[in-house]
Amino acid sequence: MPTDKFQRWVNDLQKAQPVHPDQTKQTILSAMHPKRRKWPWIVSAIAVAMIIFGVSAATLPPVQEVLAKVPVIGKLFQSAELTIVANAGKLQGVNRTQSDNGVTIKLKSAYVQGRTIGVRGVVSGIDDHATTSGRNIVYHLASKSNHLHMNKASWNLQKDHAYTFELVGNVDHLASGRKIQVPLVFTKMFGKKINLRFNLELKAGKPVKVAFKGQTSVSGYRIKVLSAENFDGGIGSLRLRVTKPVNERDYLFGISNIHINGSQKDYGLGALGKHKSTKQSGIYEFQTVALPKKISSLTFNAEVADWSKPEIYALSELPNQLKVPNRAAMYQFQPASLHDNQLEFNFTLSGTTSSDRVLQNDDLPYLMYLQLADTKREHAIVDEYDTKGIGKNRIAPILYWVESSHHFMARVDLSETPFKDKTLDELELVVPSAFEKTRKLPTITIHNQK
Amino acid sequence: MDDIILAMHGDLPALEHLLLENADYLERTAYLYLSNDTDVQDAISDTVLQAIRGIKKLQKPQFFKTWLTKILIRQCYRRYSKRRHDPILIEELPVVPVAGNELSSEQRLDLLAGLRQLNDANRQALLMHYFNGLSILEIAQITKLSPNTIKSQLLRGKQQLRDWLGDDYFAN
Repeated sequence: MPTDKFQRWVNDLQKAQPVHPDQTKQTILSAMHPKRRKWPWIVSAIAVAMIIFGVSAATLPPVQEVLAKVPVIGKLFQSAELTIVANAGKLQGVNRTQSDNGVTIKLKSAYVQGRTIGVRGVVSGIDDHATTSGRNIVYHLASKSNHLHMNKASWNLQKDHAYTFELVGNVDHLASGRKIQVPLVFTKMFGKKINLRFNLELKAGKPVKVAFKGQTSVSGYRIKVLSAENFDGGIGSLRLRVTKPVNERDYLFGISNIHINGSQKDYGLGALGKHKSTKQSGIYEFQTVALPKKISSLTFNAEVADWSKPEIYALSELPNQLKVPNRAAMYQFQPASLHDNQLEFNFTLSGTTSSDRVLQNDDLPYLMYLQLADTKREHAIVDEYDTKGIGKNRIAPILYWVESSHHFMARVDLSETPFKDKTLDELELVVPSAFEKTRKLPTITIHNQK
Repeated sequence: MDDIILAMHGDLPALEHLLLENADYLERTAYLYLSNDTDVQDAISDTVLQAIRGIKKLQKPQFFKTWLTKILIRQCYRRYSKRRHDPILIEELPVVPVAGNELSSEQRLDLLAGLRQLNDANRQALLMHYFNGLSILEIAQITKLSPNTIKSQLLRGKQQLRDWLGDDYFAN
């Protein structure tokens, strides 16, 4: 028996679906009059092609590319997921090599597990300066899609200026048990412009549900386990719905130290994202190592990060020093310059500690962004950036990191952005406050109520 | 209704008129089951051919739309079944909203995301049963699966949708 709510929603979906009425009518007429099939068929095929390519071109988001990433401060990040999947024998061979502008990239293996994609490879042809100084180690990774967000990377120097690398990213879709095609486009490597496209065809790992349901309340936050799953590569995921206290401001919810059935083992591998929000609640997904088949209790530490009060300065008036409240970390800015739409400003970030998770998680794009001075002060922290760090209403400057001094060079070419021909007075630098406004909640335990 | 009766008696122009009137509905329905533009048009084309062949067997004019929908679903499922093992280009996957407000357009996106997140077979079964009103036996005939498999797909699909959207969309 159909249900009202489901029907209503699917009806809404049907109405929202873009359609091609002329094409469909042509299809119906062609089928009704098969004798006239030849020319109408050709015409309709051309029309279909035009629609497909036209619509695709119009609706595809700009080429998505993660922002400039730098190695994690202090030490290179080791991709735990890749190691787990490799140990489970679920890495899929890729073995494709391409070269451009003296840079050779060989992708060796890859995997898709749940919403995570990982790639392993080797890059060679890096010039002396990049490899010997350790400076300007910046890469861009692009997909012609906004469904892929590479968010972790590790680099290891090999002989002859070659680096092995591991990239781990998220897709927004769970293609469980299916083969998916993933086009990866590298556009810059260690400062060199390249254009190397790899079309990977990967089989997505199949999920197996773990029977676990439960909820609890802590400090006014209601946390409910929506699902727990394992994938065949040794990785799992937990999905939680978190409802905040009434009148609480927007926040991000993070968990760590995930222990199951009272064991000492930490199952946590990191956050996969916030999927859906209402005013009061959000659904958060966390990656884990494979979860036990039987879960009686889940214990973890939780933090909420309040993103509601960013520091905002006109670029013409950057503060010499900006101390991060409640932390030892300190920004020291030098005056910004803007000539011919080329924006540059330098800053030093000092005093970071192991608890400054934003840096450790390699979330540098969220360190700061630019907005127009008259922009409505939105407090949302999530924005989609394109290949050049350009978002709808903001720009994330590409940060070049100098290892020895924690010195950053921020550069943005504004000439092809909505901020073209603006002055320093018209641009603002926004430093989100989340990384200093994290609040820890008491340890949370959820018992299985299934 | 007159056109339907005429069509039932073999009047092709009347049938053509009916089909053209329902072009928008046919396309929107096909997109629920299929994501590829070409497949959608192919399914509609074959639905028209099947309708021409079978219109005389339609017994009651008031069931015309139901009858046409069932033909279309059968054609959609054939294409889905043929392509179920083909690799999916990641760009063809719908975007899942990351965070947002209470806009109705986002809710629609949520639904789209929620539906697309479902295992394909479960999604097809959910739509056939809970949206288009097909019985489990009718779905079993179309999919050539056992009724028990269809029941399992419906259960799993409902659970998946509930997990993903965090709400029960099957409660009245």
